[in-house]
Amino acid sequence: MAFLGVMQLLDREIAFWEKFEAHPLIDERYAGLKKVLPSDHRLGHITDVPPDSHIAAALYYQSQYSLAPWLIVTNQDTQYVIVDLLNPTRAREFCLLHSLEPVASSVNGVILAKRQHEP
Amino acid sequence: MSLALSFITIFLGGAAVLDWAFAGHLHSRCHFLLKCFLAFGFGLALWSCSYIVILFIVGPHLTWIWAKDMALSFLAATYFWFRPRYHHSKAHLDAVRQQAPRWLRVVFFVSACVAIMVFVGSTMRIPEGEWDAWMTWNTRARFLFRDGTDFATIFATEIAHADYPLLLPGLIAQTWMMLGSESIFVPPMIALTFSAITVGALVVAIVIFRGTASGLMAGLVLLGTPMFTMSAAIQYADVVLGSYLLVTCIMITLAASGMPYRVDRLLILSGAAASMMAWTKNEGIFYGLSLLVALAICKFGPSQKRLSRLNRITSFLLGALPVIALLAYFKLKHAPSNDYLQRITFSDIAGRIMDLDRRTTLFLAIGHKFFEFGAWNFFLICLPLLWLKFGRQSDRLTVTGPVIMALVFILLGLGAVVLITPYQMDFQIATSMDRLLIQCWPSIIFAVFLSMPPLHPQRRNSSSSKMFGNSG
Repeated sequence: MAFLGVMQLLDREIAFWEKFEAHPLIDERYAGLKKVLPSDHRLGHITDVPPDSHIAAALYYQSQYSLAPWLIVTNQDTQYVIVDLLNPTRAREFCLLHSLEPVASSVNGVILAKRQHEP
Repeated sequence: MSLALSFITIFLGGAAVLDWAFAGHLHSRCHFLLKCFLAFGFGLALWSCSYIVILFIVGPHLTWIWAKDMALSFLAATYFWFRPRYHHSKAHLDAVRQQAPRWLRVVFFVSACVAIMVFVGSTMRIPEGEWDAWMTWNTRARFLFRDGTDFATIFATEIAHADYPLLLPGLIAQTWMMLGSESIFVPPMIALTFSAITVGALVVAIVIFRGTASGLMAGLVLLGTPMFTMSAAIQYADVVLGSYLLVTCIMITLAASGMPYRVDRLLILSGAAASMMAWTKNEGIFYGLSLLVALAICKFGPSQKRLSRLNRITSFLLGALPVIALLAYFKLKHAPSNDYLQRITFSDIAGRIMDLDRRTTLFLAIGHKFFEFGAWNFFLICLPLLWLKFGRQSDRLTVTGPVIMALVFILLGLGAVVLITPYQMDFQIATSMDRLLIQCWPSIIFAVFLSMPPLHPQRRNSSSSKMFGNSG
């Protein structure tokens, strides 16, 4: 049975190499922002997916992971905000709707924005 | 240079602790190998804990970390210089001279190669690991490494599982510090190291107790559980916790086996290993308590008369004390409250235990796991059946009793945790049941193979048979 388990592992390995596709690194998504982050180490986070969803949680924690030691928070009291969009084509509308002024952008709909109204 | 010093600290520190605990007497290639695997496990924990102590006292200063490593290496070297020269007995070597069939060696070697290939392939595909790896462990390691003097950010409530202990983030961050760069391959290398410690310690320990064929077969069962390799490859801490649980079980069994070691020292070391579980993940605290209770209740094999029950408990607690003190300081002074405990009340617990739907869901899930655990195999149902067939013989049971009882407590406790979870039960079962089982899996394999007679008995030695409980 142990041998069959190993065979199953080998089968997975072969299937894996047949359709090998490396996941994009989380860091690549946020790389464009790293050099322009503000001196204030607290940043807000806002996204275009429903806030209670699995994807929203993934984007939030991925930004936290990538932009450490900047602390990413979800409350409204930060001057700067990470705008993390799944649909980058709506970035301009999204920022207007939330009164945000884009400061810098990374790839795939990740933007550093400043709140137009002081928190 | 820094990395070389770190390596020396880890190995020399671990080796000194192991040498002190084993205090000579038995010397064979297998015992030496076992000590090497265990030394790496203890050395890594010692290195991580000492880093966090320095962090709490003076902050993340590289000079202090260097000084700490040099001091630890010096202490270990001084120990080896002044330690007593032991006379090595060869009285019990026959038990480990049983040869395994050639085909079994080949299959084991091929399995190990396949497991490494799967690990490397998965690491190339997702080098940052899966959710818990980057969200819980690697994020906090990055805060420790990148945050200069203000490491306290890792205790912010916005950080995922900020109340989790720091063994793994401490190891990753300190390795980055010593490298001087944040290499993405450090977390996978640490995961691979702990997997190797787990497989190596399991195989060698079973070889010592039950011969080479049983040892290789036990290793094959572990390597043939796809989820074990996958959990290591995605860098979850479950393999690390499972590794320390196995080390604790091995130390307790060695102490109970009647081998001419210092029982008190082995129990001190098993307490230390149990405290490493608590310093890895929160559930490690519960695992340590389960082992302590089992140690207090069960008979203690041929070593029963060599150390009283009270002294056994005292030795175990003494070994656990330093890291538990560090954990208590971390929990009371820095860590935010646990989100699981925060959401739960006693009235909720009573209601959930009485809820028939929840109990049915749990039993169905457990039944399902018997046939599906580990992403493929039937081992989960096979191993308890093997134990029922072979493991209940009283002489073996007194040696394996504490470990088996602790594992029963742990599995019952994990079931209870799933039953009273404040989260959706289906979600809890889907996300954590396999992972909780994989933490216990190496120790379950160890306990079952220990309960069985040798698979391929060629040479038997009556004195060693009696000592190891090999009457089957």
